[in-house]
Amino acid sequence: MLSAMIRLHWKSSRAWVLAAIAAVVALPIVSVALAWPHDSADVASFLARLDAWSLFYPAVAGVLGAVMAGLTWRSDRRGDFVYALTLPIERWRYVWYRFLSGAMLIASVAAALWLAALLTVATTPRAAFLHAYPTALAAKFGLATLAVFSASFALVALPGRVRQVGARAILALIALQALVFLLGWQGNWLVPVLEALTDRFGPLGILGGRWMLIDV
Amino acid sequence: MSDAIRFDHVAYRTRGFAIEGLSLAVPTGSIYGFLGPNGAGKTTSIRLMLGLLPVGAGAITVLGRKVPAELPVALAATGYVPERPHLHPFLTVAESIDLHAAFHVRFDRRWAGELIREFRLAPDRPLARLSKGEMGKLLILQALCQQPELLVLDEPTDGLDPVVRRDVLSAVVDYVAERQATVFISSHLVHELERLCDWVGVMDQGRLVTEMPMEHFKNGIKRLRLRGPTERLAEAPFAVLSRSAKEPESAVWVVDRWEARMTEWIDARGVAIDRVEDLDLEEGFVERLRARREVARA
Repeated sequence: MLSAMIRLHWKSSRAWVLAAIAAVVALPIVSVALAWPHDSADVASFLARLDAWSLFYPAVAGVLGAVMAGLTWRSDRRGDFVYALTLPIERWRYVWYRFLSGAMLIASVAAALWLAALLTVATTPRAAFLHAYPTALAAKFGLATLAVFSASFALVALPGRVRQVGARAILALIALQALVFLLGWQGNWLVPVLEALTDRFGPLGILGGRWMLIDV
Repeated sequence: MSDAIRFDHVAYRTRGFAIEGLSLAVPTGSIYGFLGPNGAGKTTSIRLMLGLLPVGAGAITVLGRKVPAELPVALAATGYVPERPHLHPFLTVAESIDLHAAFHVRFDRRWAGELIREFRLAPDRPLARLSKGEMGKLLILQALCQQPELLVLDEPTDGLDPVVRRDVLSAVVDYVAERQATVFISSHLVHELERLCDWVGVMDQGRLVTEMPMEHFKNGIKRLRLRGPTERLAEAPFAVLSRSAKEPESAVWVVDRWEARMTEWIDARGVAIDRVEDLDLEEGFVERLRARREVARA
């Protein structure tokens, strides 16, 4: 059943998965090639340029995780979940297979990044005090994508009405925050919420921090 | 005879529509026609029995299993063809069959191959590009090849051309003849069910109007052409569904629960029966529905 679900997920999202694979294969190769110093002593500027490129890793992870979650339920939703709900398996098991199949495809993208990072590191001569982190980078990318995928998966799976109410509540809070800001009143709740989400120990904290393939 | 499907005092309520105290029993091995006008509650009843909607009150069993508690077991032996296509549109015919087979342990792939040829389906064609008839055939193919004990068909031939309709229905009939499966078929195409079904249930406005063997349904309802003082026929042993009088001393009655010996009862009251006419299923269905609505209005 799981392999059938992986095939189903692949069929619905292969364009995105292939695009993500292309992006994560290109990222380490291109970033190191473009950041590589002509003057071998200019390590600081090399790291600074590489750091600038590293923003793309969490961006790709975030987009891929959210898109994969959206595509997971899209065709089920289009059929009012009738096919899924009339399959002879427990509903929690169907949701679990859906999640696992998405996670497998994300793992394939992370594996592509790992191979590309290994290749880049292997073909790049570097100073002894510089270290390469291809495995850590790929693992972090995989986990970050999985974190976004999990959160989005749960949100997208909510009933339409609940999602509407939630979206309206969030928009109302943002609008209220903007009003408070414009009127010069005290009160700031959006920044603490965002900080809590992306804090080191927050659910999306893994998107922060350093994403360096080569570092000291 | 046990029941393949059983509703006991089932209630379901949603905005603007309610099913109240629905009790019905589909005998195992029967082909049960579920009739009713659009909006009568046929699809809602099917969705309740398949656990797609939560039951408000009462109990439902499918193949002896309680719904929703034992739903996966019941669904493993139930083939379902919904009113609207529900398959993943980006899959091809072959991929959709593979996906279905992965979830149904008794799925017969060899037979699926035969039916693909018989139905003239292109295995590599995406479902999004199938015509309505092709999609109808694929849905039936998938439901049949899982070799179910119970087939639930919700308007399976609605909108299909006569050739496709015949293909689909004959595949169902062949399957039932071979496997002694139960078929629950909902439709508003009454003529179609007349040839197919041996039991019939009629829904209207969320309630079951009647449920009986097809033979009783058709034979019990007659059109009587009467001559004489029909007012003497009060307290008749049959149910009068409708009365019309074109001229004095001459009337046309449509009656239910008719038996041949009742002619004597009418004769004894000085009323002559010019003719006793049979009604087909559609006429019987319409008359019963009309009578029920008049009673409800009254």
